[in-house]
Amino acid sequence: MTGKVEKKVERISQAAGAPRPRTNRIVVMIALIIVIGCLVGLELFASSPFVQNFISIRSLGFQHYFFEIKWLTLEKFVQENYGIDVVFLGNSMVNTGVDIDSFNVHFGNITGITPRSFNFGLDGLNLTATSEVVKLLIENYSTNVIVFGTEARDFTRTEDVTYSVLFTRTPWLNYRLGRFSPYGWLVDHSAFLKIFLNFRNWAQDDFQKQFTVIKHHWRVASQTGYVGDKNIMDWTVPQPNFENPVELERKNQYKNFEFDDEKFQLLGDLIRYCTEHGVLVIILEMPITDQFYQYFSEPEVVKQEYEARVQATTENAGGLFITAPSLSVITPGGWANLNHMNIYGANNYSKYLAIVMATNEEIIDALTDVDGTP
Amino acid sequence: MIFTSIYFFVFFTIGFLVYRILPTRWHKGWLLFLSLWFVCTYSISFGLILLILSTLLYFYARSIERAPKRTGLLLGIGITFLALIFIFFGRFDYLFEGLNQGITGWRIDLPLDIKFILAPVGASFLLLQAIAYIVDVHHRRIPARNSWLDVTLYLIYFPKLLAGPIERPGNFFKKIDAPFNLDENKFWRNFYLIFIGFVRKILIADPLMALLPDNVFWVSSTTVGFKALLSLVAFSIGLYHDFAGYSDIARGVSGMFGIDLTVNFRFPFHATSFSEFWRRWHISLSDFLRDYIYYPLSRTLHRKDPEHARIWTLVLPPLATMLVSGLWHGVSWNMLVWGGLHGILMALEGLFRARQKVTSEVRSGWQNTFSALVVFIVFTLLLIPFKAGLSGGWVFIKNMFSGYGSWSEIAAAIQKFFLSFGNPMTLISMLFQLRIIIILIAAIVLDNLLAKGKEEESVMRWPAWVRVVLLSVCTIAMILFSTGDGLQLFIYQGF
Repeated sequence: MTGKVEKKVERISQAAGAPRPRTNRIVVMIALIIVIGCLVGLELFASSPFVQNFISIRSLGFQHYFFEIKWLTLEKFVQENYGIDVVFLGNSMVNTGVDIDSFNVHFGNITGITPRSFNFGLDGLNLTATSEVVKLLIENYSTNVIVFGTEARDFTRTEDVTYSVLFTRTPWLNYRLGRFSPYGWLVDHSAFLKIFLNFRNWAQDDFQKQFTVIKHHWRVASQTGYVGDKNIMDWTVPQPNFENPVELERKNQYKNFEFDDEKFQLLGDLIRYCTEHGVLVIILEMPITDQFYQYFSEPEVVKQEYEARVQATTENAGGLFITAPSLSVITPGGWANLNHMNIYGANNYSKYLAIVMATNEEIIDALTDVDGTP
Repeated sequence: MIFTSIYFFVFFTIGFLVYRILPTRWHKGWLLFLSLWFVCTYSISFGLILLILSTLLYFYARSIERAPKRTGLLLGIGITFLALIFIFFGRFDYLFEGLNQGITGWRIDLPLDIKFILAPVGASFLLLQAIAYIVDVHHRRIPARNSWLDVTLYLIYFPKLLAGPIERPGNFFKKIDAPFNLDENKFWRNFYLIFIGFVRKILIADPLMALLPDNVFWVSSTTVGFKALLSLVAFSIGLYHDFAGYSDIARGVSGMFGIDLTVNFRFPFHATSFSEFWRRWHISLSDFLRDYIYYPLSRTLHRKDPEHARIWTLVLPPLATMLVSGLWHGVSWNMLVWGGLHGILMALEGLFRARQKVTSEVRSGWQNTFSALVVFIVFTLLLIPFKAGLSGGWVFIKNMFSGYGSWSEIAAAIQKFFLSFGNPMTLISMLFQLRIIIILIAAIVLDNLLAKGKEEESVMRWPAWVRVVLLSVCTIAMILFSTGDGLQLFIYQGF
């Protein structure tokens, strides 16, 4: 009877819009249970073999999705090969310019050692982001040699700061580098998040287009990280063509090209960090066509200063410097455009690289224990 | 740290729990500490600058009070000084950019560390509150505070720091002086306010803003036809929910500390006239402009020419007020045009009302709905110069009226939509493409439901099962939606 009266009183007070703290508490509690239940359910569902096989793409929350493809491919590579010996780092020129299979074959032919090599070249990977990637590699895998391909633009003062800041702020990266990040931990441990993060930008206008591109890159990703470019540059048209607005914009961008001392400092720090961890660092001067330097107002000055300063910084910090080969090594048919090699150029360049590296005792020493066994 | 980040959630939870444990005499000190912490997450230098400014403000107000004769000179100097300081810190990067463009051969990029000391948040809000304090002391509306802590807290109290409300000093001091009172009913009211704020921001405003095509409001935009029109509507409703969301969260958070901030936003899209719209949108700014520009100007006009004052009091004060409002939003021609157009509309409305003497109370329901729709459409159209600038706005208008395709193409698109119901995958894809419209519908439904209850927190009177569904579904959606790249700042935070 008393219960009935209480209920009636509550109903009347509800109708009058009066406060109902107890109901509020119950409402929130039920909602919380539903939320937790749903999240746990989603995690279990995402961990099931069916979903894991059905959805092959993964994300770690980086805006640079190529990084995610490379990193997760590298994880698989390390699992399958029980480790890694040589990692090639750098921007898109390394991505399309170092053919791992070709490098391994030629290096193996000369030295008898077949290193477990991986191409970690990424579009737009600048020095700031590279420093973080290097730390990540050293923290997670005991690689013996890091080869970092560079070009003059890596040391420019007018670099896009936002990009590298966003890259280095990614929670997962910070968590993996030992910095406090609960969200990073969650991404690292949650199967659901790794799948869902692919769809996180669903609200963006061009999401469908972007998602199709990402899916394509996952499909064509090679096991060694190398992404070959099959295009062959048309030398019959003027190169570069400054009537093309895109190329004119690029020329304007590099018109007042200046080297940034801090970038050289960063390179030196990066090499010293690796050396302290027992990793040999090789800095490459990536080959570029002579025409590419026309973007700069003083091509010869830029080229010479870049070579001299990178070499000095590298050697002072304890790394090795390998200059770019003569352009006759790449041949005109080996270019996809003025600064990217195609599959033919990459094959030739990788062979050249293998020969140069195979004749260096320090490199041989660093790779002596390589046998690829668990 | 923005309200919708996980860091703010942790910051607020700890701040609130400690506040409840602390003895009352330490409450103000704790709030000041929290506020300083909050500011310093944006920029430590800016936090220090604010401390110095609030100290200056404290002493200046006291010196105004102690001055043997209160002349306008001391007040004028104070206002000018404050304005210059805030223009420097709040608009320096724009001014610098202007110098770079204006002087031939001049090109200096601001070093990043200098950019970071410039006001990253709500400079205009700080300025108005600082001015209000010395003006009110000058006019003896309030005594100058004896406590430095109170003045500093008034200026940088964190729930209102980013984008208001612009609290009047008298009101604010009364609230912080009142004994702390947070019963369970108030707690839940604030809880639902914060929750609805999050829903408005994370589930409506952010997705709508993200769905706008890149550069849609730029001179170089290639978005035309229905998509351009839809983008404008999405921007308008997105802006509405962004500001409504911010206001709800600010009120809810502050309410948890026992300080009820002024209601700053009251369903302006339900306003049936422009003057009513501005009494509902950014209420504290509108009130500020009304009290410090509109009324003084009206009084002056009346005094100078009582015979012919009527017409001028109907035209000039709203025009001047809205021009100042435009400049407050940005020192540029497009903002001046935006403000001017709103001023003209309000003036015309005033003239019309003076003849008709019809108010919304005597109108029928559909008349009010129609009026609200007209206000919404005109407000939305006026956002074109606001968002796109003058030249960009002109391009946008041209784009909006072109590229609709032929009737047969439209019919084919509609047919494709209905045919997609036969295939689940095609239907999902189709619905995904129409997600902007789905969000717009959800936004309108939510706003109408809340407006029916007359206040944002009316959700706490909804049936329990509805609240369970709302809380659980929206929380899951918010957790998932907030994983997108980059947290979206509140739009008004930039002013």
